[in-house]
Amino acid sequence: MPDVRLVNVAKRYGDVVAVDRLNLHIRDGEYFVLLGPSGCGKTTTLRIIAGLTEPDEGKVYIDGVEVSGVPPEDRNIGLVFQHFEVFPFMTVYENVAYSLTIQGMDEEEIERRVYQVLEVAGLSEAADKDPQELSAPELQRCSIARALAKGSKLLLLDEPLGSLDPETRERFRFTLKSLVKGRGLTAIHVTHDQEEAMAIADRIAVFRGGRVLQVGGPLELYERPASIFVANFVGETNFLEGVVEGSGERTLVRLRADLPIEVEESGLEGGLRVVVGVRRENMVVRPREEEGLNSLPGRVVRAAFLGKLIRYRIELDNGDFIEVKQPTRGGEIFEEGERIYVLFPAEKVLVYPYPRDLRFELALK
Amino acid sequence: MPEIKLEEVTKRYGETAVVKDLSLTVNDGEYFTLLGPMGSGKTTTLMLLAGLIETDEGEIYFDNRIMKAIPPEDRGIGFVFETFALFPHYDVWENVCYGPRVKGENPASTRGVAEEMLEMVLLEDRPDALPDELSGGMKQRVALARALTSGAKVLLLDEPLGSLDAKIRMSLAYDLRRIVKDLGLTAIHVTNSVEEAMMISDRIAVLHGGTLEQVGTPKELYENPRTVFVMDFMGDVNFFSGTVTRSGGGFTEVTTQEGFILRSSRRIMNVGSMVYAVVRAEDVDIMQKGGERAINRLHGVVKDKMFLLGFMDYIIELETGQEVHVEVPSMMIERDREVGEAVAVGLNPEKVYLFQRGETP
Repeated sequence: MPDVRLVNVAKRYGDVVAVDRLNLHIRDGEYFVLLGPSGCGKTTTLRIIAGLTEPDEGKVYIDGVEVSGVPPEDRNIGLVFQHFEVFPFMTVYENVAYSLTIQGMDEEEIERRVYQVLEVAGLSEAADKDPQELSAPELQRCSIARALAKGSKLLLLDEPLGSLDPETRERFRFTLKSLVKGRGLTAIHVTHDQEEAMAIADRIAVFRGGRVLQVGGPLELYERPASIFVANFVGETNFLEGVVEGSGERTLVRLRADLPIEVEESGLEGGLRVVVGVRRENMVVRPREEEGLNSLPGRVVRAAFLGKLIRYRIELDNGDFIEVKQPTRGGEIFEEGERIYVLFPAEKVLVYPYPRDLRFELALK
Repeated sequence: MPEIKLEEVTKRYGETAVVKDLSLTVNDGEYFTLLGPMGSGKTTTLMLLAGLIETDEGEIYFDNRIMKAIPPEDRGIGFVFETFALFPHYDVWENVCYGPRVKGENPASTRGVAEEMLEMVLLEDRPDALPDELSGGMKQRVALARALTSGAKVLLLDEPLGSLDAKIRMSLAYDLRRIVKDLGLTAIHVTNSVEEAMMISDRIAVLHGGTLEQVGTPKELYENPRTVFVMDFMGDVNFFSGTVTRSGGGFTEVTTQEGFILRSSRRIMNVGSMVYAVVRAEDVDIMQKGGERAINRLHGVVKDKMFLLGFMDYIIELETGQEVHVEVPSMMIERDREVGEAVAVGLNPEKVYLFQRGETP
């Protein structure tokens, strides 16, 4: 049942503001991800929710109850970390039973609960194994089972997939999400991996410098990133500089070397310096221009065949470099050195006013 | 100039052979990748090439010259590791010039090469920076410049992008390849990331349990995987176990354990063969439910879906309980499917790969 609310939460370490007057509402039953580069405040926020760190200001409510001063063990939360928190000298069963045993729960009830969570975590067969006999994903399942055994409805996960190899990590996303959804839990998951966030979350809060830049569902962040930073950090975007040309019926932006493109965004003042962004997978490479689409001429610098998609690096005729991710299915394949056009529709162009410091906006830190 | 050849190379630790009877030729000027999961023997192979460990059997040749008894420093190689291994108290310039300096080379003659290398890795404006002041991607570029100032023609890279964020990994992969090509080096790169290998390599060797599964260009490996391991490792696939029940007319028909009939036009196999029929997630079509159950058309319900940056990943639960992964490029989605919706999935016979079961799953 738990929802989590943060109201004006702030945390400083000396002069460094780790979390800057943060307001967030994580709904009951939601899989919520705190996403951002290292040092953005996402882990501090999770630790504040867990009660492992005291905020300097503001309040945290779990299930409507203000929890300041309540120690972690009394917040009814399950915690999962990147590094598998299991006792090496106990079997899987004993590890999962540990918190129940120290609560003094009766043996039969413990056994019932432990086997139930082991089954959910896909570890029924491994109950009697020692942690050393488990693979990395099994160890992480064990720490999750342990976090669930107490019956907490709120699961806090700090980079839970961080120590798994890339293949396993992708598979484990599904496991984690269906586990949370299947038991009706609320999950708050910290990661710096935007792909993981997009795949797993109901909603995502994008952090930078202790602040939340945007909160939204994966599709919303992808289609309507509110800032250059979010457009760059979430997904892959080509950015080009340009100037808005008088708004008539159609809004035009002139890129470097006067290349014109049409954008859908209206109400832009003529002469305004802008940065336009287009998702790398929203562009296609074709041998010629096409009516009704923006068509930029260029040359293929590198064509990398990645299986389901081809990744082109292209030098546009105005000297700008872009990349295009094109599905292999149903497309022509171009060679390095070939002259091509990059096509994209006006409605896929994101437009941002030219920022004070573009390099800062584009930094991934 | 360097062509590198391994001939029936075996390396054992105690009883366990970690590299078994491995034969490979890496062409001069090639960007070559050893790809495999943990324990596949890829790093051991790289260490053997570097001369950091010795082979138990077989020979290694650099340009037709046997490398046995030639120490690492005389093999003309540069080495780049996952962890950058820079001297923390030296600045970028001192790190890059370190190799030639300890060899007692004239600093004046090193200067030109070091400048060229720093320019190559786009760090010509940071010679005075200490490693701690640099990002992970920059540190790895310093390590690369350092590996190259000694004039190495062979570059060995052990998970060089492993500790970097996905996005930086991609842009550095691009730079690495460009530098190797511009300098005419031969590069051998070890990774467990399929995407990275595909992105950077001319050819890839897929290793598994110390043996070679297949060598080829990224496109060859994708289009014609020789083993079920290669196909599974290199993509997101759906498996069906079954038996060949008809064969002829350019088709092989498989009856799966669940009772589906799947047709493949990729490979002709004998009736009675026990097989895996394997289909990639991006090759499955998702369609309106309706019509009869038919060959290569299976009915199910959307169990879950995930948005994967440019692709929508659907999990379809078939009537038998088996799950099928489907990936559709966002720009090709005509209608999004909702969780709970009844759908049909279609398998194009040209995209149904068949492998003999028992053929090392």
